[in-house]
Amino acid sequence: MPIKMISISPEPGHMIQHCAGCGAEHRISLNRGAQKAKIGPVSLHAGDTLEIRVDAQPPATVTFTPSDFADLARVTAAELAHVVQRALPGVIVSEDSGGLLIESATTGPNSRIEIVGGSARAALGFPTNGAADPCHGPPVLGVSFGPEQIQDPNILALRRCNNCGSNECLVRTFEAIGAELSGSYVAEHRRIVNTLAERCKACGWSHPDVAAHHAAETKKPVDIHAAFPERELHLAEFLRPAPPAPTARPEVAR
Amino acid sequence: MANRKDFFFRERVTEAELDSAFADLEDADHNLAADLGFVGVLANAVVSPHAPVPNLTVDISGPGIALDQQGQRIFFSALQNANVAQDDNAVSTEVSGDGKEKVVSIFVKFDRALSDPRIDGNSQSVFFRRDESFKFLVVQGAEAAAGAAVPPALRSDALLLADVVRSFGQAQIGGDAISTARRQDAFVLSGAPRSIRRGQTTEAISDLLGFYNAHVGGTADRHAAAAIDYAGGNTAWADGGQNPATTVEAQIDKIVADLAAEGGAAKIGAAATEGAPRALGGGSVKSQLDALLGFINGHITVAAGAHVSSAIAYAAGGAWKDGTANPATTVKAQLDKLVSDLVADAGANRIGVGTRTNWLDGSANPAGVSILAALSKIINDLSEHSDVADGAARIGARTSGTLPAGSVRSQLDALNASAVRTNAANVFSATQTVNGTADEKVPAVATNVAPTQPAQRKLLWESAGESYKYRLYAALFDFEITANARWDGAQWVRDVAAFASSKLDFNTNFFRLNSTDANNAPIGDNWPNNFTIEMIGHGHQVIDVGGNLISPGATETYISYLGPFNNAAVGTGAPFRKVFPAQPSSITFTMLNSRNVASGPFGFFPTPIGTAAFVGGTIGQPDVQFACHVLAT
Repeated sequence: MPIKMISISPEPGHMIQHCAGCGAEHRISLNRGAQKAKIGPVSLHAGDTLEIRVDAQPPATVTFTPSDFADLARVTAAELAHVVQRALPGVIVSEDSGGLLIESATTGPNSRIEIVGGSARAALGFPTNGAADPCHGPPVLGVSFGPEQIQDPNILALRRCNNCGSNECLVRTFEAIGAELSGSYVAEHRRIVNTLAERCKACGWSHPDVAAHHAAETKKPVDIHAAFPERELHLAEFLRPAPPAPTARPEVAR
Repeated sequence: MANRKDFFFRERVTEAELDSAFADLEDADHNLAADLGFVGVLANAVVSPHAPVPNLTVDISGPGIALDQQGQRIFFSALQNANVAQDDNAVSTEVSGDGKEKVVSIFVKFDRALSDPRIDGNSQSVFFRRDESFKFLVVQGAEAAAGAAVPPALRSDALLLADVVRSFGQAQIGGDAISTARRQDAFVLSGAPRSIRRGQTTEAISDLLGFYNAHVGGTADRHAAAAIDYAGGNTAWADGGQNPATTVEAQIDKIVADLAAEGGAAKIGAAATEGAPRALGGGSVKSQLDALLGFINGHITVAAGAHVSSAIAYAAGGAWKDGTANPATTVKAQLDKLVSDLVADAGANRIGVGTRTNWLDGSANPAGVSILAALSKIINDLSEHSDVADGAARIGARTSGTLPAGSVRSQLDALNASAVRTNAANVFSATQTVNGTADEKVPAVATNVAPTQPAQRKLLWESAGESYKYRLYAALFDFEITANARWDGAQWVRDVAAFASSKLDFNTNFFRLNSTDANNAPIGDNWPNNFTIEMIGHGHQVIDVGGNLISPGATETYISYLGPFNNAAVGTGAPFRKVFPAQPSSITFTMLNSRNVASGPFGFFPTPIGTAAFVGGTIGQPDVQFACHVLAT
């Protein structure tokens, strides 16, 4: 299930995403733009570069030199973070579950990190075909291809997983799921997603094209955690324990 | 002393003067006796029937001494005899007829025995010696009817010794005819209850002293209480009742009556008595008895704690059955000992039992043993299992089904002849109904031998088909039903080689159908064909009547699009391969291939059966192409 945990501490909060495509874990800050490289170690070449645009500023180029790393062929996320942080003091750079995470130091709708060029893009997992990350800014509720184009106020798109290229769309749901599914993955993930979506809406983190729609809403999702944001939510704590699986005989590999 | 004659010198003493001198002395002697009041018999002179053979005479004992009314001394020394057959006038004293009687009195009189005659100056014979002597007078009274005869009157010149009653035809004077009621002893003092009839002064005084000593010593002649005055009590009874003056007899009677009456106890005072926990205040016996009764009743009726049992003695008692003694101690100690003696392992050996009923096989259960011995005998008796001593033969069993009432042995024998055995093969030729208990939760049939290794399985049921067999197995974690497949311990073997085999098995995680093709080779635990429905971790899964699989678990699908791009979003639909029970909350797109895709894909309008997916194309490009893997959860 994609969302593992949501929390508002420290402000403005964050979520831990478990990529449904590859299983990698990603920290996604709320109300803050960010980009994350694929999980290392990665192999670079001397002089590889990465062009990074922070917020609305001109892109900055980070150059990776052999002296920055113990082994250029096996560069760790921590080493990359050190280099990038040194080159871009105005960002928050960290090692996140094995991958380089670059976050804007600012928050708000204009907070963003964009990887706009550089020879290190492919090695770090960033797309090179010009495809824009569906979420290089802060996560917002609602997707839209334009004011007059197709929109969905219930989709919360997350930034691409540069480990596998998947992009996650969380879906806000309004109808109640059957009580018999309480404690199951599908039911509890719906509640966490709805809680996150309503948090975004309450904080005004809506896609501009659907903000008016959100403001006019009179209904709220039924399956939701009322205790948030006073306490952080972990999906695992709401799941009913799985029955112990008996030792299965390897009759046929499926 | 006597008047004197003072004879003088040369006096010619005359006879008269000498006689007068003697007379003066006699007078003095007589006067002395008279002055002292001594008149009567002084000693002996007791009249008794003549001995040795009574007749009409009586014996008079001697030496008799008496003083008559004139003071003259009467004396005789030897036993005397007096004839009462005739009186002094020689008149017979016989009684004339039957029913009559006379009283004949015997008196003793002073006399002089004259002797030594001499001739006086007148030539007259004069007895010079005129010694004192006596004579008995027998005087008869008038005859009268028996019991009414009057005795002769007492005389002034003689002393009565006895009255003799003469009856008609009397030939002997017996003791019963002699009466001394009027005998004139010197001391005849009549009185009641005592009188004195004595001759000597010392005798009389001795009698008096005896009477006095006996009176004082209480051996005789005690005072009647009624003759003793009681002056009255200054102190009333405790209840205020008075005790006025009266006699001792009356007062003692009053005391008895007062105390015997119901109010008696109230009359007796009682001082206060100290004590703990209770004391008695001063008052009367009644008040203190009432108080004591109240204490006792309160003590007897107290619900608890009347006496500490450790304060009550227990005298030693008999020993237990096993000889353990019960010596003297306190009640508490003995009660504790009772508990400890009986709680101990040897307790049952301390209690006896009487004769019990014989066992069903006639074996006796005699008395005289302890409970332990009786219990041990029960165990031994029921444990016996020989041909001559069988425990089962001692226990009764009522009719049970086709088994008649009898002993356990008789029923076991009957069962042995016909019962199903659990350790032998049994063939049932009739339909067997196994319902088990009425509790639906309890299995009617249970097999509790379970495999312990993964490759083990327990064949529960085997049923023959037309050619191959159907089998039911309980494996370590699976329940299996096979057709034409038998587990030989290591592999599945076909009953009929020409047919394929199949196996249905399910456990807590999945439901699986397995099959093989028609292959002669035995198959291991890996079946080549199977259809599995995983059931854990997905919640409720349903295949509805329309054939739709409704399941909450993840599902995947594939979408692709190739088409013109007019600078607007393009997309396609991504139908799910199953139906979610509700709208999924996560759609994950993984681009497999794309061209002229600037952004996305994004999910739009997701539903339980599928979602739309749109991408943004690169502005200015004529078309867009993408192929995408979709994962919905």
